[in-house]
Amino acid sequence: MKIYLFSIILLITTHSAFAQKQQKDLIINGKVLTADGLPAPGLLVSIKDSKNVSFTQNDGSFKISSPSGNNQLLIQSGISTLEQNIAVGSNQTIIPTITLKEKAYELKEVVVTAQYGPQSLKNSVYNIKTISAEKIRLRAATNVQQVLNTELGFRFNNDLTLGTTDVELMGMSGRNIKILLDGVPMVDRSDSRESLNQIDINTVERIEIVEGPVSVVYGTDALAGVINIITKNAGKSLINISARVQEETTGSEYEALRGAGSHNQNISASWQNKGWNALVGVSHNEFGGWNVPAKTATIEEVNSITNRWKPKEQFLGNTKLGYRNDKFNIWYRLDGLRETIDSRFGMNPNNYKGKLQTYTTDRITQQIQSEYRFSKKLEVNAVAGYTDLQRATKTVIHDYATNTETLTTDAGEQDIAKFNAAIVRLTAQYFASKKVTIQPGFEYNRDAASGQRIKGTPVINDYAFFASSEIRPTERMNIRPGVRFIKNSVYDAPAVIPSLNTKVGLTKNFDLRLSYARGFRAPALRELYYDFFDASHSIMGNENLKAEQSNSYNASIVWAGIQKDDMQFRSTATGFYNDFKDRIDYGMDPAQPTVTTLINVSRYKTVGATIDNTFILKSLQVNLGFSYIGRYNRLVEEPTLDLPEFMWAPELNGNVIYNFPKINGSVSFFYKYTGNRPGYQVTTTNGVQTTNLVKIGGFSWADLMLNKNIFKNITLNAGVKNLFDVTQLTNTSTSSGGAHSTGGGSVPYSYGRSYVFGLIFNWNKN
Amino acid sequence: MNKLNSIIAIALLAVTFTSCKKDDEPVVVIPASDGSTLTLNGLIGTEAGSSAGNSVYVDFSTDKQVAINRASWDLGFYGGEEFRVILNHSVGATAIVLDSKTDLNQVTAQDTIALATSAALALGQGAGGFGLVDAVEGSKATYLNGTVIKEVSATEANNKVYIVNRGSSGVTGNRGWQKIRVLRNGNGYTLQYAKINETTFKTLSITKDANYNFKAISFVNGAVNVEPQNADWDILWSLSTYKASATIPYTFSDFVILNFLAGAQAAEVLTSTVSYADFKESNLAAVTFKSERDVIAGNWRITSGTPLGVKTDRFYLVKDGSGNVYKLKFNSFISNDGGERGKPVIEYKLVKKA
Repeated sequence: MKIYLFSIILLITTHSAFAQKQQKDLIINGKVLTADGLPAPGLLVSIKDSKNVSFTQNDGSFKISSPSGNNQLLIQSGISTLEQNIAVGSNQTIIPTITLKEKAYELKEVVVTAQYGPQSLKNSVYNIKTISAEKIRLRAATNVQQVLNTELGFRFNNDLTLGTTDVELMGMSGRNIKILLDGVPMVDRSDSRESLNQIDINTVERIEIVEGPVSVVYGTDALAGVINIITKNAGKSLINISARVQEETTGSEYEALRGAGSHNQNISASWQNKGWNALVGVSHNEFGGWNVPAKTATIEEVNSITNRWKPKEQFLGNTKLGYRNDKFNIWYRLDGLRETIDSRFGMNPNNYKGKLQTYTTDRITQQIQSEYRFSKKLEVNAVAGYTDLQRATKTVIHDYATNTETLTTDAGEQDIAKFNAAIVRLTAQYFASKKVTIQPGFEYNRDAASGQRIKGTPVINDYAFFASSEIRPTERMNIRPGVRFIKNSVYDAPAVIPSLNTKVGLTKNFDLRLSYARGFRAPALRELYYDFFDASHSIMGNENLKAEQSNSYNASIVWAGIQKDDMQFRSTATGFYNDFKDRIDYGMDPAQPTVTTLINVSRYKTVGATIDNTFILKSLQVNLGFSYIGRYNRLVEEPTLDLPEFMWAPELNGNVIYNFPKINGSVSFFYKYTGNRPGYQVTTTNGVQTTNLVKIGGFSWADLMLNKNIFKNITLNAGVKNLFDVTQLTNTSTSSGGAHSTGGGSVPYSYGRSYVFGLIFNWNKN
Repeated sequence: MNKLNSIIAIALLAVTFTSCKKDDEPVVVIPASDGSTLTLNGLIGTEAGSSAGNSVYVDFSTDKQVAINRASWDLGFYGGEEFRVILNHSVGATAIVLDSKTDLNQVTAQDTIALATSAALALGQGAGGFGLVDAVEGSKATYLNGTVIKEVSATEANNKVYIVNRGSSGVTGNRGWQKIRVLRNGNGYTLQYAKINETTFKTLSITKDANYNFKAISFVNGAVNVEPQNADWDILWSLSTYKASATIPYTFSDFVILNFLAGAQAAEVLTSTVSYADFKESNLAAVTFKSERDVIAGNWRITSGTPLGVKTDRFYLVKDGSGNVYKLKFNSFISNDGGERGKPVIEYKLVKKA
């Protein structure tokens, strides 16, 4: 709270200081239109060599103060910067209408992930998928997972014991996916990417997804791909206040405002003036769980049903504070989270005692980012981030006879696992000529951890130098080679990580992208320093681990067949092949055969193709996609078993959004079919190995949402999520009989069809 | 901003900052119990409960427990008719015979290098085989015939040298290997032992005592007291070597061994047949007792997977050597069932007096 207050005070003081200085200037009026003649809202307008900045409004108009005389007006479309000479005098305060070279839809499709600067989707050398702010709003999502769950290539695996969810992208999961918040990596305590659902959805502007490695720019973990969460900016209004309440059932369970069901509240405010901007948001998400057992249910009763969802509560806060002028931009952002998950193990009828456990996660992420434009030819970016993550486990034995609680003493039951990570990334863009741009960069990462099953308090320092270049021999061709050099304080980093991305415009509407990239994943702190010894376990980390590496080949072709104002069609086909080696897996320590350790042994491959079509006709927007992805079957390495190398699974998705402009409303339908997921199970009977094909059943997910502006500033959201009432996925695998096997049986996926009702309040002062 | 909007904004704020207080837990009134409850003292100090340092012998008729440090002994010498020597199953000890050696002084490090590099004496996590450990299941006859160390022969030349890995399951530090040889000494035993590199050996004489199943020795401290007299205990709770599968031996924590060598018998009863509270002498007719090492074993609890904790759907009957029958249930052994690892709680009651 202190930090928020401090930010506000700082803003108010600096604001008044600036107000005094600029009284002599004249106020000029202008208007900006897109190439197709539509108003261009939300663009930054500035006067060169002054600190005066402004934003265009919804009708494209802007007001900016300017000294009299001849000036240069800069308009930043987010993709390009337009310079316009203007003459300003006391009788010359209205300047002619300015037309951008971009069309309206191009302004909406700006991407930043792995770019030298903001770039239009069409011109990006990477094939990037974006999920727009509008789509996020229409989904009435309460976390990022609910936005991504109908996207191709995404799959979510729920760990109902811990109350967490891991994400899978293109057949790879966990540490192979890099999650970024405005380009700064999210820190996770273990292999699963639970951080994805620890981001406040209300602060998300859009989500950018790059499939395939982006290791030259983002370093470790970015093997399967990168999910970059772009947060909101203060926007174009002087003051904006928005609030949201949403009530949702979990299946058929619901209690008003608290308890069963899902209850979400958010309030945020932003302010911007004269280049200064500030944003504050607070959210509270309460998930009452599903199938939560009665408080005095016995251990056996609790475990008789596997699909139980634990109650979870999140408090999220964020603030952003920034300043920008015509060549300088700096902002600070703070994100805080407290998440509490309650776990009940059931009462033991023999002694009327039960174990209650609480997992509390505290996450604080701070970042400062800045850009400085020295000249038309040289820009410098700096990013610094620091994340502090703590997860506390508290365990008590509750005695139901005496209503007393005692802390337990068993190993690991009162534990605080601590992680912190710092990152500094410096990059420069040098626009050497129209044909050549060079981007050198430096990155420093520091990771530290302590807690149960981690030996000591290890620290890893990682230094990387990277460089890439965009070469445009012709207008339609873009070749981007890149290379990263790494020095790590602990493990033997790969000497060099190369990549080559190319984009060729075959015709005006036909873009071909081909890329090769080496990906790598540094051994995680937990893999290097794992330490777990007890009566029946001897498992230790391995400080001699190497990085996992992959060779990835991606190809995509985009046909933007129709690009008219009221009708657009775009079709994207992609194919990929990833070959991973030196994957870290458990194995026998050669020096101490009784100890299990982690070694670089496994191989893995993924291969697949997707096709994605977007069609827009006036108020109708339709998406239709299909993917077919093969995951490597490790058993192919067993020569005695005659099995295919890949296990293939199809996915199909589609969504339809229809706007009713006259009544300010919309209907949207999001759908995805995830096909059967095959796998092979080995059973050894009397020393003979046999395999059988097992499948996790396919399922259809659909959300139907209605959205209508019901009052000046109030919008209503209502709908049904999980229309097909999916709760568990069938699974034909049987228990493997291993020591920690929990057996086959169905896979818990969701809590069933739920009904949503929400109100969004939005108020602006210009 | 008009009035309605302000009201909504304030309402939203109020909801946002409503904090949550956990509801109170319900109180359960428990029925009176008339049996005995005993908390077994498995912990020596601050060790992890799953590596509890003690073995605990329990005698139902006297409501007594005897806790001994399970790492305090290495070999047990049978007090009955046969000349049998057992390894310390409660630390995962293993042994292997050197077929060609009958003189400890002839055994050098050279004889053990291959054993060390191939981890031939390792146990746990899939390593080891049943040839390295004493029998883990079955009746008295199966057990005594299944020792790694063959019955001590009256013919000296038949008594080979064995390499013993002293075991380290849940014990700090590597306790090393020993070379040993056991001979008969009238109605008793002579043990010859030394560390692998030593060129001389020590000897110990052990006299048979029929009041004990086994008399124990330690390679460090010589003769040590471990087991109470065999009439003075019914079950032993301890870490012990058992099996992960038909081919892989594995050390189980919280393993319960019946005093089967002294004639104790036991049976498992599912509460679906009759509940613990309702079980009476008249129910005994339908019970089949068995006298085997692993009647109770680890069957009373779940240590991995779900749900962790004691199994509340079953209890046990134990008939001691004199014919008294007790019903026995395990109330807790891990935090998940409201207990503490290393300090299991048992409840028992006399059902039929001998």
